[in-house]
Order: sequence, then C-alpha cells, then structure tokens
Amino acid sequence: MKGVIGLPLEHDSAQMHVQGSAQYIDDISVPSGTLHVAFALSNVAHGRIKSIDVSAAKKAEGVHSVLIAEDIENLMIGPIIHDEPLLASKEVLFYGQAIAAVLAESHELAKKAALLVTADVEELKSIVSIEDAMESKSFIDEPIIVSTGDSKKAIQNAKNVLTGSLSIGGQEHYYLEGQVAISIPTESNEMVVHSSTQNPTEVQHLVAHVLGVPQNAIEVVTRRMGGGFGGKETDSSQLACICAIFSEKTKKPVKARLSRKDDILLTGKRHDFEANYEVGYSDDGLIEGITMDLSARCGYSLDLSKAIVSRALFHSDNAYFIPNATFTGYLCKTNTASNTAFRGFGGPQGMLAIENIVEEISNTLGIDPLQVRRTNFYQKDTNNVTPYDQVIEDNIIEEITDELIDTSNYHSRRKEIDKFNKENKFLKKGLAFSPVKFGISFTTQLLNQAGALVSIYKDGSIYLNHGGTEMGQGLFVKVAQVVANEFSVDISRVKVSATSTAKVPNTSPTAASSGSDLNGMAAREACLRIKSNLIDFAKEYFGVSESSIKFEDSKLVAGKKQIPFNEFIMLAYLNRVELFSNGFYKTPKIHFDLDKQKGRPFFYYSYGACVSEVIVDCLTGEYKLLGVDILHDVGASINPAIDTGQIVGGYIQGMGWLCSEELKWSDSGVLLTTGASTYKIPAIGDTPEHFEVKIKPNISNHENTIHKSKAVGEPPLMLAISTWLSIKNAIYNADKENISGLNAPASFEQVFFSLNKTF
Amino acid sequence: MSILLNQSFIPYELGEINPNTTVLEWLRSNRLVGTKEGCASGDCGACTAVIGELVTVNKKDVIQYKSINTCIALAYTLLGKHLITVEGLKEGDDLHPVQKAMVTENGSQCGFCTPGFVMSLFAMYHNEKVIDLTKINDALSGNLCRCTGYKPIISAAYLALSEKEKGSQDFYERHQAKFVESLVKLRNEKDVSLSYAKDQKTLLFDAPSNIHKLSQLLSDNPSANILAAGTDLNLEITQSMKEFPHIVSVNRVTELKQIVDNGSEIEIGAAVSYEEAKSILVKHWPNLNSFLQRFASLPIKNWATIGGNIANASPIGDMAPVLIALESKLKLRKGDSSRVIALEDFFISYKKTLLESSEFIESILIPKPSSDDQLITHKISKRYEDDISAVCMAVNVKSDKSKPCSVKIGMGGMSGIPQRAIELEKALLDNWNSEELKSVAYEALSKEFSPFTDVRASSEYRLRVSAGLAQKTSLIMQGYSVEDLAHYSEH
Repeated sequence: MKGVIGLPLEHDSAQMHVQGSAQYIDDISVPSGTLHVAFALSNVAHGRIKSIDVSAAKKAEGVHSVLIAEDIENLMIGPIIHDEPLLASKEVLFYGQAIAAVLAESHELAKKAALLVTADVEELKSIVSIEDAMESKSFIDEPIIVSTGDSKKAIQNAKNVLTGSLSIGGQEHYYLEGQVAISIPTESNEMVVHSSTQNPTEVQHLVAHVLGVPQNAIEVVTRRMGGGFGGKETDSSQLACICAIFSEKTKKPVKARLSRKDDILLTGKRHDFEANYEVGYSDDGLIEGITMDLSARCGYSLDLSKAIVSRALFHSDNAYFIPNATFTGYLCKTNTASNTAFRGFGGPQGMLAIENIVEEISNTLGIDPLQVRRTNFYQKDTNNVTPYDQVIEDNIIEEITDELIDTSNYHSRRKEIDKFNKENKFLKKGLAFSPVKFGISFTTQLLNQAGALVSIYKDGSIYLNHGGTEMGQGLFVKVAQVVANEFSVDISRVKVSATSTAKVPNTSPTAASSGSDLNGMAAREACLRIKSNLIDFAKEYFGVSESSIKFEDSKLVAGKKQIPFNEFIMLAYLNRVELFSNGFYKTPKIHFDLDKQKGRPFFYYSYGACVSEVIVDCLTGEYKLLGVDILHDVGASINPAIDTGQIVGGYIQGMGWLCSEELKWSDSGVLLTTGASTYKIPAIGDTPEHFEVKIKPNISNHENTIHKSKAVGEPPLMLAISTWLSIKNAIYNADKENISGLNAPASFEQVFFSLNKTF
Repeated sequence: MSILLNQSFIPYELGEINPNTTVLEWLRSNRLVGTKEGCASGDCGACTAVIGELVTVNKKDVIQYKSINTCIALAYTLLGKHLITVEGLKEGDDLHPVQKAMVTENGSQCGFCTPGFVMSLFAMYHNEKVIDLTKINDALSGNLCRCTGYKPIISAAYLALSEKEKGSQDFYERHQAKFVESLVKLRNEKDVSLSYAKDQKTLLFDAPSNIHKLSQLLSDNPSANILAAGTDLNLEITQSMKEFPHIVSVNRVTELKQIVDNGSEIEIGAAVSYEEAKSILVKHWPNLNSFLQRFASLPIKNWATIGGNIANASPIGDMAPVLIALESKLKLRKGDSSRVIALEDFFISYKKTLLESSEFIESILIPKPSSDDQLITHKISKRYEDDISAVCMAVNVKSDKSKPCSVKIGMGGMSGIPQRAIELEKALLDNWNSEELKSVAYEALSKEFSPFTDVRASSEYRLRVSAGLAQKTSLIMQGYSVEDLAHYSEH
C-alpha cells in the first residue's frame, strides 16, 4: 500500500457534511428538562449601572430564573488576566455587553424574556475610535516596541522620505455556526460541557474557576465547530461559564446559543489598526529606515491583544530587510467589544501597512512595484536578520516570486493593462503582486506544546485523540494520516474523535496555524511508543531481529512471517502488550526575550505570493476582481486537497476583509453592522473567474516538522493584500498623481472617493 | 393540513403548531437537524431547503423545485407542497449526485453551510440542463460559505450537472408521477383556517383560496397581518421575537397568483413571486434579466412576491423604482370595491402607504413598452450578490426619431420612500448628450433629495454616485456600450 502522507484525502467528515448528519452542538439531542439561556444586552457603550430591573423578565412565560452580576461569586474571567465580567458589574463598558442572563424553558422564551430586562444606566463619555483613544491616552497596556538599528538617523540621511498614514478596518469572524454551549451536570460537582471552542482547556479551566471546583471536575468536549477562525479561541468561555453556573444552581442541563446579532455584538473581532509611518529610501526604492506606529483598537479588555499587536510588529517587515526600523504598537482601550484572535492574529495588519508603503514608494518613484519589492527582499546569506533579531534560514521568497511572475504572465499583463487604460476613460485596470512571509509558532512560548492519545482496540481499529480541535480546517484527517502512516494501515481504520479535556489535558488552543505541526508530532510520538511495544513483542514472539520487523500494507512483517494488522494486534493483546499510548511534543529552538523584544519567536516561516488584477469603474467606484494567481509554500504537503482548500478559503476571507467587509459604529459606540444584511462577507460571485492556485511543488520544510510539512491555516489570508494593492494600482493608473489615501477595506464608496477627490 | 416530506409519498400531517413557527424551527424540533440556522434572517442560506410545487405545463401537472430559506418561511405556508431537506437526498447508502460532487471536489470544510449548498445544488440539478458560471452564481447566490472561498463548490456544481448529462435519474425524477399524484390530492384542500390555543390566547392562521374570501376576511379582521412570502415580515418573529395573533396568508389566493396580458398592459397578481414574474418581465424588458440577478438571492426570489415588496414600502426595495419608471399602477381592493392608483403616489413616507385598513394590493399594472423604449437600470450596493441597494436607479427612456422625448426615473435609497426623480428627469432630458451632464445631474439630485447616511452609504456618496449613474445612463442613451462591472467577464 502506498503511504497516506501526501494524498489528497477528503475531509474526515465530508460524507457527513453533505448529508447534514455531521453533528454540531445545536444538533445534539438534549435531555428533557434542559433549560435555555439568553442574554440581556446593554444599549449604551459606556455607563454607570444604577439598577437593573429583572422583575418583568422573571414573570415572563417559561422563565426559570435570571442572573445579574451580583448573583455570581466568581464573576471575572479572561484568557491572560481575569478582566472580563461574565455580566456587566457596576459599569457597562461596551454596547451589547451582557447585563443579565435569563434561564427559560426554551430558547425562544429566554430570548423574549431577555428583552424585558431594563437597566437604569447613567451614560458616560465613551471612547470608540482609535483616534479618541490615542488622544485621551486610553491604553489597556504599555506600548510594545520592536526596533533595530537607528531609524531616525537613517531617515534623516535618506535621499527620499515618505510620510503617511493608513487606516485598516477590523473583521467580524462570521463563522456560520454561532457560539453555542451545553452544560450537563453529572454527579457530585461534576459537569460535562459541550462547547463550540478552539480552546477546550481554557473553557474547562474557566468553568472550574467560576464554579470554584477543581479542574478535574469539568470535562469539556468539542467534536467540531462550524467555523472558528480565531473567534472561538477565547470568546467561547463566557457562554459555557454562564451555562455551567445555571447548571450548578438548577442541577439541570443548560444550553445557550447566541443569535447572529447577539453573537456579533458580544464577541470580539479582528483589531482595526491605524498605521502612521515615516520612511527613508533611496532612488531605487531601497528602504533605509522606517518608524511606524501601529495603534490597535483592543476594546474594553485585554484578551489576547498583547500577542496580537506583537505579531503585527513581527510582520511589519513582511519579506523585506529593513536595517533601521522602529515599530511601536499601541494597545488602545475602547468602549467596544474586546477584539480577539482572527486568522493571521495581527500579522495581516502589519503586513498590509508595509505593503502599502512599498507601493507608495514605487508610485512616487514611478518604478514598477514588483521591482521595488525585489530590491528590498530579504537575502539568503546577508540582509537576513529581522528587526527582532531572528535569522531567516529558510528564505525562498525569490524563488516563489520568480515562478509566480512567470506563470502569471505578470509582465505581459502589465503591458496589456497599460494599453487598456489608455483606451478607456471610465474603466481602469490595476495589477499587483505581493509576497507573504509568515512566522510559525505561538509567540507565547509555553503554548507550543501538544499531547495525543492513541489507542488500538483488539480488532485492530485505532482510536485517535489529541488536543487539537476541528473547525473545518482538516486537522483531524491530517493527523489521522500521520497515524495511519505509522502503522501502514488504511485511513479508514483510524477513528478521529471529539477533543476532550478528559483524554488529553492542558492543551493549547487550536490556533496560530499550529494544529498539524503540534498535534501531528504528538500523535506520531504516541504511535512510535506503541510501535516500540509491538516491535519488542514481535521480536520475542517470532524470534526475529528488530531490523526484520516492518509495518507494511496493513500487515506486520516479521522476517518471512506476514500477519494481518488486526490479527497481530489481537495476538499482542493476548500476550499482554500495551496497545495505547500518549505522545507529547514541544517545539524546539524557539526563545524570546519579552523585555528586549528580541529572539527567535518562530520555528520557521511560511511563504507565498499572489498576483491580482482588477477593473474599476471610475463613475461609481465599483470594481471587479478579474484574476488571481497564487503560489504558496506548505512544505511537503501532508494532504494537498486540504491544504489547497486552506489557501483558496484563506485568500477569499482575506479579500473580504480588505474589500467588502466593513464594520461601522455610530459615534456613541453602537455597532451598526450586526448581521449578514449589513455586513457583507464574500458571496459566490466574488470568487474570481480566473483563479489559479498552486502549492509550491518539490519542497520540504527546512526544519524537522511533521513529515516536513508547513502550517497553512493563516498565511494564505495575507495573499489577498495583492488584491487591495491592485485596486490601489488602478486608482494610480487613473491618475498618476494619486498615490495615497486608500484605506482598508476598499469599499466601493471608498474607492469612489479615492478616485474622485475633487468633483 | 399536510405536506409531503422527503422521500415519502404519504402526506405528513403538520398537526397543531403555533402559526408563527418557521419551517426551520419545525424541522429542527422534529429532529431533522441537517438544516441549520446561520442568521435566521434569510441572508446566509444555511437553512436552505427545497420545495416542490405543482405547476401546469402543456396542461400537464409537473413538479417545480425551488430553493427557499426555511428560517423565514412559516411552516403553515408549506401546506400542500413537497418539502425536501438534506436528509431526503440519499438513496439507501448512495449519496445524491450533488452530494457526491461536493465530496469529490472538497466542497465542504467546516460543513455548517454545506446542507444549504447541497439543497441549492439539488434545486439547480432539477431545474437546469446546461449550466454556466452565471447560472451557478445565481443558483448559489443565497448561500454564504466562510471557509472554502466557493471555488470547489463551483467545481462541484459543474461535476454534478455533468453526471446528470450522463442520464442518471434521481429518486424524485424516477418517482415524479407518484409525487404528482400525492400533491394533486393535497391540492384539493381549499381554504385553510386554523387556530392554535396557547395559554389564554388563540392564534389564528387563514389562507383563503380566492379573492372574495380574502377581502371578506380582511374586512372582518382589520388588525390581521397580511402575509405574502414574509421575507421581511417574518423577521419580526425571528429577530424581534414578535408573535402575530392572526396571520392571513395570500399565497393560496388564485386570483393573486395570476399573470394576465391585457394587450396594452401586463397585470401581475400581487402574490406572484419574482421568479414566476421573471419570464414575462424579461420578455418585455430584456435588461431586467441582469437586474433581477442582483435583485436578491434565488431563494428570496423564489419566495418573495412583487405585491409584498411594494406593500412593505421599503425605501430600498429594488422593484419599486423600476415599476415607477415604467409608470406602473396598482389595483387596490377593499371588500368588493377596488381602485387603481399610480405607483408613484402609493408611497407617502417611510413605510407609510396609501393602503387603508382592510385594503390590500390585488395586482400591479405595467404598461407595455413600445419598440424604441429603453429601460436602463443601475444598482449600487456593497456586494454584487444578495445585497440591499445603497442606490437603485431605473430610467425609462422614450424616443422619437432616435432622440429622447421622455424620461421617467425611479430611485431607491435616496429618501424614505422609492421616489420619482423629477428634477433629474429634466436634467437628463435636456443634457443627455452634454459633457456637463454629471454636474447638472448632481445639482438636480441635490435639489430633490437629501439622502440619509447609514451603514450602506454616506449621503454624499449616494448623491455623487447617482450623478455618476446619470452619466452612465447618458452614455448608454448616446449609444456607447457601457459596462456594468457586476456582470463583467473577460471569458
């Protein structure tokens, strides 16, 4: 049998997905008597709570009870520090914050009753925008500075200086399955919690914390999520904790699922950023020095903002060697929901900022931006140290660029576009290339660890469990491939199972693109331990040397003896061989000094590049994406079907972020875009007709990762920066004096005003 | 009170349910949980299912399949129809061709939107023989996917149809005669009048079969809510948690489902859906084909009615500007008396119309175009598919010896109501071939409109982009070919 590594196997749940039989938490048959939760939400962004009146809600049809902050003993939760109340206490800090939780006989009755809760709130001045926060010095933590060389001096000495600013919008996750949890009390003080979360361990630990019970009393189970994208890394905890508190009080199962609107109001989004920059550069466009401030809207609490802003700074170089750089990240505290992880985790914002700069330098000099990008690329042996002192050892950006420029016919298309633009008055085309270099590892070092549990039953079927969660990214099938490969059995023999805190403890969130890297290695380690037991047994039982024992083609080969895998497993069982094992992995080589912001935060980098072509209507600001060509590096792919899916889907999600997805708040902090009718994620027609996606072939990870593969979850999202740049290029092509001013997202309206600065 | 459900030929009795229950709630509470709730407002398609309805083609009863959003359709409005959900596709252990194609092409990742896509593909599989990208985009215009980027789903659509071309028939095709027979039996259930006792209240649902009974019911119950498709009204149930005490559905009223050619005008019954009206509209105004593509998602067009769209009086309902430009009239009815009014006079102020208590829209009368009339439509929205207009502009140009002699313009999104743009009409008629048109149009628009700023667009963009649209219109009037990027393709 051919090995299963590198095969384009279907998603482990694909057959169930298409039949509607894949079970999500809302589909679980709940025991009769299950009660349901709905939140009453604040209708101001900032205010002092004088009183909350729940009397009408309590009297409403089917209502069991109502909780407010005062009723909860351990009120505060949070992923890094506990600065988030489960329900607003004394003060409301953002529009849509939960002020009360209603428990009723059905979801509908709970929702109806929640609308009857009223609060007397003295409204206070709210800080909504980044600008407001910067002005009033409203920060959630100290600024973070990543710096190298002397940027000030370099800019002073440079022949040319560019100054400017860029505003970068946030992004709602819009996972199709909203946040949902079910808590089921079992016995004593124990509880099983089903949570749609990327982070079962954190949910477990926070539920234990709010209930005041040891962590071993709580089991959190997650079979699959209907999408996560970072939005279920920390934002799942509140719902699970509230369910658990109600379950503890009532001794009944409790379920909560958020309506789309409540989900969008209550949970955090991708951080919006403001970038302000000053850059010194040569006549060739070589960047000599840069200072850039990146201010992020963090919302009312810390959440993961520090690591997110950090990652933004770590990606403000993207693929470019900048000898003198000072990147400063400000963590703005605002009266908005607490912004959180979202695919790319700050990286996309940092990368967009530098790509915008390179484009503006090119346009100012009148040089093709591709050339300026090449001029600034990191080199292999020199000019290969990042501003945070990591030496780049695996740089393949030039190779990727060369290949993609060639296959996408960049140069001939550039000429065709110039011709088109000369011939057309109201329609203008734009073309852009952009590279991606994305650092892989959690920048919080301790998170780079994982565990797995592999069990083989007497019939030879294998049960696989690990700390990673499945949110659609295909992690489970990839890790199953790793396991099937170790025993040389068919993938159908490996059963992937729900993530459970009772099977593998203290897991890290499935995030930072690390799922396969970490859990694949841990699962492999578990397999190796079982194999070692089996080999020892076979050696003795068959009287052969270790070197003549092989797992091959669903069989055990011991010298001349061949025995089917399942029979061999039964034999091993009968001879009292341990047929299960855990496995553990921690990422080597990484280290980081937080005080100095120097070190090696990343085990390796993933690379990619994209060419986009767009056509813009100058009379309306509308545009259409005409073509996208992608070449992306996933090392030696474990599953090219899954990896291609991540690249295509990541790209389109990034395109949504930079094009049509626009979050809007009123001046007083009311989030106005709370549903799919006002917040427009890409629809099917937004997928470009010409869409060439290629995994870079014949390549493997420079580092020793699982089967030499690379992480793929986040990096492709940033390929979409080329699309935003192509719009910027079309605007520039319409008027060569028009170089700055386009922000993100490039809504039609924004493009219209960029094109028509005067009337 | 029955429907057909999935692969069973035996009618399924809905039983006593709250008339406010949506199809989605009903399915999920009956453990058919393959159909998902994504937004509960008809915007994401996770809840898509397919209904089969009897239609007469060449005097023969056949079943037509339509995708719908079950989250905003009420269960009782399915009486007499065939409801097919994702659970009803597999035959034994064999996946349906659309399901197989989705697996083969890796069309699912998280899988939550997948049942909805599968059902839209299933409807397309039944309705189309040959497909292209435009048809696929239309068929899947109401389904959002956040994971795949749609590329593999588009491939799956092509693959499924290529399987069909090989001549295989699915369960529903093979057993069409039996399903027709069952549906014919259900058709005989005429007037529907149901009550549901809840605590001390009684909730009512009426679905009369003819216009006399309808007007009688509404005269007797002036506070009842008239329900057409409910693609907007039912949001009050799913989003504002309202419960309607008395719903009167018009979707079984024969007279309101008719399209009549009166010679000089076309009369479209108020309960005719957009998809049903499409062929006659496109026959007379071919430009409406591409306009209707952007009008709404297919599941909405399959369900929503023109009458409902007008009665709802949304300032951005895209059909009203077109119908205003075409100088349409409305036939309103109250009891036994009816009156005809110009559509442009129907809208008074935001969500307020001329409709009196117990009065309802019977039909829409649209004058037929003469041969050199030209209808030019524009829509500006944040996304091309399934989006509400920031601005909608419809221009009806009448020409005399290839010179425009009359221009009628209807606009949406520019004020609290769909409105005629009289100043712009004058400006365009006087300056249609002038270089100055854009600035003249801007002035005319500013005189007549003070559009609002909201999440879809700022006031200034609405004004300025409308001037840009006026310029595009003038270029078309001058005979230039003008691209609408929403439909632009180089392939």
